Formats: sequence, structure tokens, C-alpha cells
Amino acid sequence: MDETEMVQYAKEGDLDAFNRLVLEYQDLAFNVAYRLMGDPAAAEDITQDAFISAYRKINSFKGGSFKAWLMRIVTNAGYDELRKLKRRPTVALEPVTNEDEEIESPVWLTDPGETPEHTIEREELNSAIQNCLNDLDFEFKTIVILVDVQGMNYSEVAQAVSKPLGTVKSRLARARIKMQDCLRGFGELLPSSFRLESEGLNR
Amino acid sequence: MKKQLKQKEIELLSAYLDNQLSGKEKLRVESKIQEDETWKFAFNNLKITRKVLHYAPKIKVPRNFTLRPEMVNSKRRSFTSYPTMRLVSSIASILFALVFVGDFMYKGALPVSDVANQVSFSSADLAEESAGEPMVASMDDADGMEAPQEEMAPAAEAEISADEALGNDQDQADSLESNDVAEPSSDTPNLQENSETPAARIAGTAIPTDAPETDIQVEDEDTEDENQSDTDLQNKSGLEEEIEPKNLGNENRINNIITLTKWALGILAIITGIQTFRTRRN
Repeated sequence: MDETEMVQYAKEGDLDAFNRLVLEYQDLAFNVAYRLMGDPAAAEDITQDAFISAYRKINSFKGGSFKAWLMRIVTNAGYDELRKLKRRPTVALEPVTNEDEEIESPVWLTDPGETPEHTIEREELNSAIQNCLNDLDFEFKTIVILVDVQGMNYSEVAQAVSKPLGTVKSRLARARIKMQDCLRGFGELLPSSFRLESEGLNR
Repeated sequence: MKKQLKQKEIELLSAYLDNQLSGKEKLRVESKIQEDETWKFAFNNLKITRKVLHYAPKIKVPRNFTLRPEMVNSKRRSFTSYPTMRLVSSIASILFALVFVGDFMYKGALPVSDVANQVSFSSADLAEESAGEPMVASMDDADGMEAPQEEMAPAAEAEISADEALGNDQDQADSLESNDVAEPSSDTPNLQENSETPAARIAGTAIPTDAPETDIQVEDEDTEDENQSDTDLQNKSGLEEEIEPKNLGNENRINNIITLTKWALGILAIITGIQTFRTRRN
């Protein structure tokens, strides 16, 4: 059964068919939500709410890219959640040990097959990226996450953010420059292959 | 110090990086990168930035997000969302205040005399209703005593006052003598009875004590007319009695509706207010 058929069955109320789509896209949805929010618990809530919302609104999907349509729901849910957090700021719950020390390597980031050096390197890279993403405005952050982090193409992203292609290109370029400026601040913390040139940053 | 690229040039480089340029633009950017150091540095840094983002660690999903029937069949929360509840609560409160104040002002604007009139009218009306019906029945029971009542029709139409009625005692006595034909006549007017409303008298509530026997003489040709006018009078007086209680009934209904509306809006305002508070807390 291909994606179009699954969508059609889901439109007819077949929850199993929709759940196949969920399994297909839950990694993408959760990772987009995580990068938008920077918090796995919030990302979990957003992902679940987005899939519930997608099932209820499935009849409004009129064709095109289902992935882009789903990403629009996820980003909208993320936007709503960020607005709610702005209204009622909360302290993020960092994973801690029994001695109340912050766990630097949460279980969801660990890879049992890698060396400790690699683990540290990856965590530092992840932390640097997330810190820089958190500093971006939502509209720039969304586009850079969808294009550069998740590898979606421009037209899908334009559909997901409901903006013209030109706007997507422009915002992406500006977001990349902002990320570049931010990542430069992490300098030596980044893996050598990811270090930016110290000269030649031009705007 | 190297020159800085403009925003448009950075956008071109960014699009070139993603292979989003047309043939002509692509060639132009490629030549710029080869010839101009500024373009070259900018391009390299953009490439590294994109690479960093591309290699951002992917997070494993903590669980499956597949849906269960109870998750999608539950009631939608949109109706009880904070903005909706806040709006409904505000509207209900405003309407409640308007109805409450409006009702209070309407009642306050009624003059005291009107209220007193309404009350006295109601009492008189009730008295009429209770007294009038038996008398009509007694008149009907009086066989062969069809009294001439020509004077009663104009009296009823003019809505004569109690004082005027007192001045027409003789006429009334003439008109109502048939009830008391066998009784001894008396010229003394009964003030208590004459103080009753004209309508009540017309309906037969005023019972004269003096009824001259000479007035019983009635010509046959007048009988039908008199009967007709008697029927008209009874219909008219009955109509008057019906209209006033109907107005009172309407007023009572309106008051009941206003009271119910006030209660409903008050309860709605309180419930939605509590729900708004709870929604905001959540």
C-alpha cells in the first residue's frame, strides 16, 4: 500500500492506515519538534498532538506532499507551544542524577556503539546547534530546520510554511548567516571538520 | 579588510549551494567564487554551516506515536479553549449586567400611582369576577322578568363614574326592578351598592332595593331590541373584563421571561468564568 492509498483509507476513517503514516513520519515529526523546542518532553507532546490533529483534519488534505502538510501541522503546534511558554515561562527539566547533578549524556542521545570521545564530540555539536537554533526567530528557525537539518527540498518547505519559494530562499540565506555567526562562537568546541574559517566571513 | 557581500549576493550563494539556480545564474556565481576571495570565503563558510546542521544528531523517538481510537474520538478541546471561554464569559457577563440594570430601571421608572392602580384594579376585577357571574345567573333564572334596560347601554358605553352612577339611581332602579318585583319598594339609595363600578352594575352586581311596579310595563315590540342591547352589554362588559386580565397576564409573562433570562445569564457567566479560570490554569 503506497502513501496515497494510506491517506485515502485514513480519510475514510481507517485508523490503522493512518498509523502506518505515523510510523513512517514520527521520526521526522519528533526531530523537527525537538529542534523547534529544544526540549524532548515538549517535542513528545507536540508530536502526539500533531498526529491527533492531522488525523482529525485529514479530509482537508487535498493532495500534494503529505510530508509537507504534516510538517505544517507540526510547526504550527510548535509555534502555539512556544507562544504558550512565552506567556507562562517555565523552567526546563534537565535530566539529573540522584545527587541532583545534570546528566550530560541523556539516554536518548547515547549510542551504545560509539566511543566516549565520539559521544562527547556529538553532544557538544548538538548543544552548539541547539543553542544557536534557540536564538533564531521562529520563521527562520523553522526553515533552516526543515531544509538543513531534515533535508527537505525548497518546494516542500514552501508548502509547509505556506510561503512563496522566494521567501523561503531569502529566509534560509539569512538564517544560515545567523547560524554561522553563532557557531563561530563555539570555535574549538566543534569538531575540526566543522570549524568555520576565521576570515572571509562576509555579509 | 575584505568587502562584505550584499544580502542578495548571499541569497544567490545560498541557493547555489542547494543547486537551486538557473543555468545562467549558476555560471555567474561559479565564476565569482573562482575569481573573488570574498565570494570564496563566504561560500566555504556557508557550506560548513550547512554541513554542521546536516550532521546535527538525529534524536531517537522515545516511543511510538500511533493513535488509539479513544485518542481521536475524545471530545474536541477547541470549544473549551481559553479564548473561547473568555469571550463567552465576557458576553454573558455584559448581557447579564444589561438585563439586570435595564429591568431595574424599568421597574424604577413606573410611577407609584400606576402600580397602585394596577393593584386596585386587580382587586376590583377579582371582585367583579366573583360577584358578577352568580348575578347573571340569578337574572337568567328570573322567569318572565325581562326588565327594560335601555338606560344601561349608554351608561356602560360612557364608563360613568361612581358619583354619576349615584345620580342615576332612579334609572338603575328602573332597569333592575325586575329582580325585586315582589319586594316592597324603597326610595333610599343604596350607596354601598352604587359605589361599585359601572361594569359591575351592568353585569348585575348592583341590586337595587326599590323597584316601582309601574316600570314593569314593557311593550312587546321593544322586547327584542332590549334583549339585543342586553346581549351587547353583556358581551361588552365581558370583553372589558377579559382585556384587562390579558394585559396583566402578558406583563407577568414578560416579567417571568426577564427573571429567567437574568438567572440563565447569571449562571452562564459564573460557569464560563470558572471554566475560563480553570482553562487558564491548565
